[in-house]
Amino acid sequence: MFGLVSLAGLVAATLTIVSAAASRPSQLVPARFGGFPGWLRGPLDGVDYVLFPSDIALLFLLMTACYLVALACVRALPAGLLVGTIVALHAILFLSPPLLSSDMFGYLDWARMAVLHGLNPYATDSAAVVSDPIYGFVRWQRLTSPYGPLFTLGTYGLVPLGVAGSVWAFKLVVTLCSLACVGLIWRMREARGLSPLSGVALYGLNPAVLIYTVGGFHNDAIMMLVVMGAAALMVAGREPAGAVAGSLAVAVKSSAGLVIPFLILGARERTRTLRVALATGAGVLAVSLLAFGGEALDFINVLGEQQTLDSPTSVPAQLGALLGWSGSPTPVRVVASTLGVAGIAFCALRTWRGADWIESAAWATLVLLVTSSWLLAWYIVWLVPLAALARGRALAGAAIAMTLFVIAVRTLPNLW
Amino acid sequence: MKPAWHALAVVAMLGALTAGCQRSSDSDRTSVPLLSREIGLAYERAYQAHMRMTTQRFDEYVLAEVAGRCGPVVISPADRPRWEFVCGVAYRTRRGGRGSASYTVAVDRRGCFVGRSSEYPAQVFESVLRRPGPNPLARIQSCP
Repeated sequence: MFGLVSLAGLVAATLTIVSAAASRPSQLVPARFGGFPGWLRGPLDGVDYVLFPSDIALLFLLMTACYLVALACVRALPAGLLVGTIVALHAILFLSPPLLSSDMFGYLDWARMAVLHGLNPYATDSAAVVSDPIYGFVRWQRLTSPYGPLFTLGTYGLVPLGVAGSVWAFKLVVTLCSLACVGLIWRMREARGLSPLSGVALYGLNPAVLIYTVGGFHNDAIMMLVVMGAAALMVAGREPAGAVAGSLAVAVKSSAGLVIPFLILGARERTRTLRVALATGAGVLAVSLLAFGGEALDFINVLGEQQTLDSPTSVPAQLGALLGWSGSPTPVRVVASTLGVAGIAFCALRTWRGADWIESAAWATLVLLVTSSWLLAWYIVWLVPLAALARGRALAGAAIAMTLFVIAVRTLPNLW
Repeated sequence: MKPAWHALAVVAMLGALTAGCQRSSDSDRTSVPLLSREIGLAYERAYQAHMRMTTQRFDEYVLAEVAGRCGPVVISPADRPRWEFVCGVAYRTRRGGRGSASYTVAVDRRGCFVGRSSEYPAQVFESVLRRPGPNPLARIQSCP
């Protein structure tokens, strides 16, 4: 009963946020500085009401409450209704303008500058072509592409569709990737002898994943589908294929590289899996060098570079509010990085000694998210799908706690 | 109460909540202070874009100060589309240069606007492409 109410609440709150974002320009759609054409607004633009930041915060908190109730009642929920709700939530978000981020325009901008103007995304700053119709929607101005060559080459295929067509095509790709993650969670939980519903609900109803990752149309959803594909192949005993998929995930976005050591350590045939992963990586590298030259290799060090950045919503920065520092000053960053490296090494050691590699990778991802000085809301998708495969409740609890943190630091300041 | 009715009740409650949110109408699509501020911000972005286009350099702080000031020309009844303003923009660069420009601005029903100025050439040379392109300062567009 409460479960049904919570599902209805999630759908209603998502629909409210999306229709408000589509109806009037507001901070929900950062791309609005480029204009607010119909193709950006989407079809849900007819309600004509305004949500103030405090309204948006309240709706987020309502979604979070519904999520927690749904998780608590998940065993009582009919499977069809749960899956139907997840599909409905994704469908609503697909129809939305990009929420709380305009990153997808950055992806498409690099693709357009390469295909239409012959510029190298790894050597040319974003928004370099001011006369391009996508320019007004791009918010990055001084950034060469930090994404993997596979992703970059994939976006080239969208360019012939034009700006509006490529935006909708990319939205469709991200939405389908997230739904495919739901499918893989279901299959892998069954393969691991677990009930699929709780894992599917942990990911598919997660308000941070839904609004920030799917609603923001971030390529992290694509990366996680490839990571989850690699995990599924490993679980099915197809270790070489899993290693290939793991390396390809890194070629989408190098953040996936954190999972690869665990995938290799968790393999029954470690040496063979390592060889296949390295061979695939070498192939990707060769294609990158041919397509983009040496500059393309910079994408590999994205995680390292992010440790030099400072986001006020990271855990170290938020701790500073309690302990008396501002942002993530260098000593705090050094301590956090050291703890992070030690934590990840500990997880790797446990995997080496036989611990479940998927769970260890999830714990390592959590360590990274907690200790990084650069934490964006949609990075939650790095953790939740892996946590959804865990056997025990501790990882699910940790993923929920991290979700609550990500939402709280962004919504609570808007309430007063 | 059956579960379905609970779900319906939640949807109805949320419907009431959203109905209580401030409804917008044509009459509040923009205001002179809001448009004045937004035209200034849009001009600043256009100035940065113009600099980027002609020099390939981006400087977020190229302008030290921008001020917009708008006055209505045509504000038709709520059911009519025409909302037009004349806006003047004055700016000071970080290096001490000063300038101004005027725009005729059309505002749509969502408050988004397009400003056109005849004081700038329609095309400027786009350095990265080595060919002329539309001048970002001749036509500025944004939403509040």
